[in-house]
Amino acid sequence: MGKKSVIPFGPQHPVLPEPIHLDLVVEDEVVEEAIPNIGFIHRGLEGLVEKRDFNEMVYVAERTCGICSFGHGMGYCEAVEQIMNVEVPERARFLRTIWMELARMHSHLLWMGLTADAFGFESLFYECWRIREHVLDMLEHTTGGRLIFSVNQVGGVHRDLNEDQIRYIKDNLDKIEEDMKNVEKTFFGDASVQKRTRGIGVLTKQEAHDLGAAGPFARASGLKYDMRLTGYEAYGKLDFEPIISTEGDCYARILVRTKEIFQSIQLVRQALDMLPAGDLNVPVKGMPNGEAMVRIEQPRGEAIYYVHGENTRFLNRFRIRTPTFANLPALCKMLQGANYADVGILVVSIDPCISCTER
Amino acid sequence: MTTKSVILVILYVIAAPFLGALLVGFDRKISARMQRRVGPPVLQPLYDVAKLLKKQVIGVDRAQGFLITSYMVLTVITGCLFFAGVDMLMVFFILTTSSVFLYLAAVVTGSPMSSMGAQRELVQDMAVEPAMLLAAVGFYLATGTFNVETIISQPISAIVKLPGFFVAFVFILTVKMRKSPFDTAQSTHAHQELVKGITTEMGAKNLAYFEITEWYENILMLAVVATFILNSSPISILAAVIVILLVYFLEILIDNTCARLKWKDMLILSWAVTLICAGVNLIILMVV
Amino acid sequence: MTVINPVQKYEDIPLSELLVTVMRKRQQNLRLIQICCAAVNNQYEVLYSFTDDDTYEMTNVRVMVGLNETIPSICDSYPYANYYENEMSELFGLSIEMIDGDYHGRFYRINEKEPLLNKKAKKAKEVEAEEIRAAAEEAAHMPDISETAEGGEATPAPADQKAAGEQADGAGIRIIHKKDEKEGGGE
Repeated sequence: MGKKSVIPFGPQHPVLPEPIHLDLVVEDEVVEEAIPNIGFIHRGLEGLVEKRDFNEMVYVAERTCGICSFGHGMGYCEAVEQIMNVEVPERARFLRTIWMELARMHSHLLWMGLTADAFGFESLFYECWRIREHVLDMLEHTTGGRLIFSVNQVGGVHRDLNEDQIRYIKDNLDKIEEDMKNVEKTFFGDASVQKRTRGIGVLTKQEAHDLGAAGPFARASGLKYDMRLTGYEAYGKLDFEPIISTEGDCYARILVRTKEIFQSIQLVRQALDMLPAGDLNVPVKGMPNGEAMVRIEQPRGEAIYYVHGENTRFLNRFRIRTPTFANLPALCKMLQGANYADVGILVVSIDPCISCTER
Repeated sequence: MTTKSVILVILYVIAAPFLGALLVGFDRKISARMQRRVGPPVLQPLYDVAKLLKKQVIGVDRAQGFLITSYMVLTVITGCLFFAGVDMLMVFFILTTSSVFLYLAAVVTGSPMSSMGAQRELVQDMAVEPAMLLAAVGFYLATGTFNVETIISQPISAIVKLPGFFVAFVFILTVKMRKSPFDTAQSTHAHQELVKGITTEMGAKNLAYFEITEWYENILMLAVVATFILNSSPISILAAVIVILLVYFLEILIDNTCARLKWKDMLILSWAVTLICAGVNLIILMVV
Repeated sequence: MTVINPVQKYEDIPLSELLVTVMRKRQQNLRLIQICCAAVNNQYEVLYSFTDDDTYEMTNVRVMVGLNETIPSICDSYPYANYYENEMSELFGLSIEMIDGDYHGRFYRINEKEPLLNKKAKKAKEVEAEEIRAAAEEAAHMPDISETAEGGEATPAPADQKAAGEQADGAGIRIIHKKDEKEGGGE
């Protein structure tokens, strides 16, 4: 004890959903510095623009990540639609919103399970993932896929929801809401959970802003960013307020994400009630010529899609800036001075999606 | 050394690992059912150890084999001494010595995870020691002897005079059996911070010996719990068995309903409970 | 506050004004959200995006850089820009100097150099690098000849500038010949 050692955290570590490598300089169980190193899941997907035409790139974009897959497809389609001046029909917009919110619910439930596992509470972990199975059942019932379900296309969607499916979704949402209330009690009330999360990894509002944090991670520190307020897809017609917490510790992040699940349930119900009749997609003619930058709110934060086409079938550039990439500097700052026992929880609390980060 | 104690010792050496394995198997099955899962078969720990013994040894350091074997041998000897009915205080001291060998076995590999787990193991030992020693002292004050054989042939169960010591001992049993909220050094399920803690660099035969030693130790600890209950009448044996099973079930329940606490909290909590429960009981015994 | 369809602005600036523009954005308390690099018409197009979090307005600053040019890092104004810059320099081969926290090509631990730069641009880059190298060697040899012949020292200067004058802005940025680093850094 008393000398510095470099402990390698990752790439294989049971608490990480995806491989990232952090070199932790530790002295006496206190982390002094964290140096990230990525590249374990780098597939160079952005280079595939040379080989897949702009319609097929939807599938590539969706496979950037399993958890955030729908959002990537949607963001890419929106960007191309902006370049080509395509007006997506109303019904398709609402359907995309519904699926996006369902994807957000499943992502947050997955994260809650991982957090519970990170502080050693396995039963809570299994309970959260059991609730998540209901969400995945809904997705499979309506799209055919659980995590990567390709329903987006440039110009709209190619699957519809009929009356039976809508009723199925509504019933399942009621069930999920009830189960979530029980889980919420444990997360917010249990003494051992509080001991492991209160006051851990505090990031003040100013620090979060200076380090460029995004998403629920930033909202837990008091920053009011939510891209859904910019009214893309059908969000302009839905009524909601972003959920903010001012404490900025791990407990606040759990709070924000748990409440967002309830908010998503409300949003899906609103969208289902307002679902207009109409076409599912419009035919798209021509080639993309120009550039567009689109920002959407993924479950992990703000994701930016930049598409540049030069009037050919193959795009020139497609770039995704994922929220975890923006949260990495904040993670390194949080890890300085943290106790080694908390490293797992801190890494999980930014909701790392490394396959998005590295594409 | 009566024939009874010889039979008990032989029974302990042969049957304890199987009993211990069954207990661990039930632990995993019940935990799984609490988590709405099916869970592994009850005999799974035996299958695991059998597989481990067949695996090729890729040892990081050859000293580790010697140290783990010492750990196992010492723990078994401790158990034998206990079941032979000799001095309880000596039993606890030798148990502490055996855990030093475990610490050395983890540290000798030089892996950071292993070393940190070993450090936490030492802290765990520190948390557990006061309660164990105080339990021995309590027995002396209640029955006038450290000798296990004499203690269990008393007319009244020791627990009547030692409720506080009993509570303290059951509390630290959670630490000894490596269950949440006190599984910072190594635990059956988790892995979240230190990969596998002290057993990170142990594989094949060494890990098998570690598991087997854990079984022996569990049986020993539960036997100490039984010592609180046993008295000269034969019904107390039945009562002791019931109490042991209840205590074990309580451990599983606590494990499944708590997150893991950091070592500082564990230390403070263990000492606080020991001081309050066992300390008060001690004062009462000495005064009354 | 709900802002439907917020404003998006694009600004094209020459490389010489990059640092000043970024500093101005920092002054206005804008958040850097991404840096994107693309190979367009045998040039690097580097796009810096900033956003105002109250109005959700996005400002995109575009800089066109030659394939063998070096751009300064903006880590002084935005300390977390180093990850974006490391990524750009590793995947696209854009050379950036003074990154605070430079991984020197080991951020993504990949085998190939500049994998995302398309073949056409790669070839153009090599050709241009050759030309610059040749011009530099000529310029290095010229002083010997001019000393013996006592010619004017004006000769090396125009040849140097001509070979290096590929830049769209011609804004007098000195090219740092990364020749040695390139050959030494090829792993």
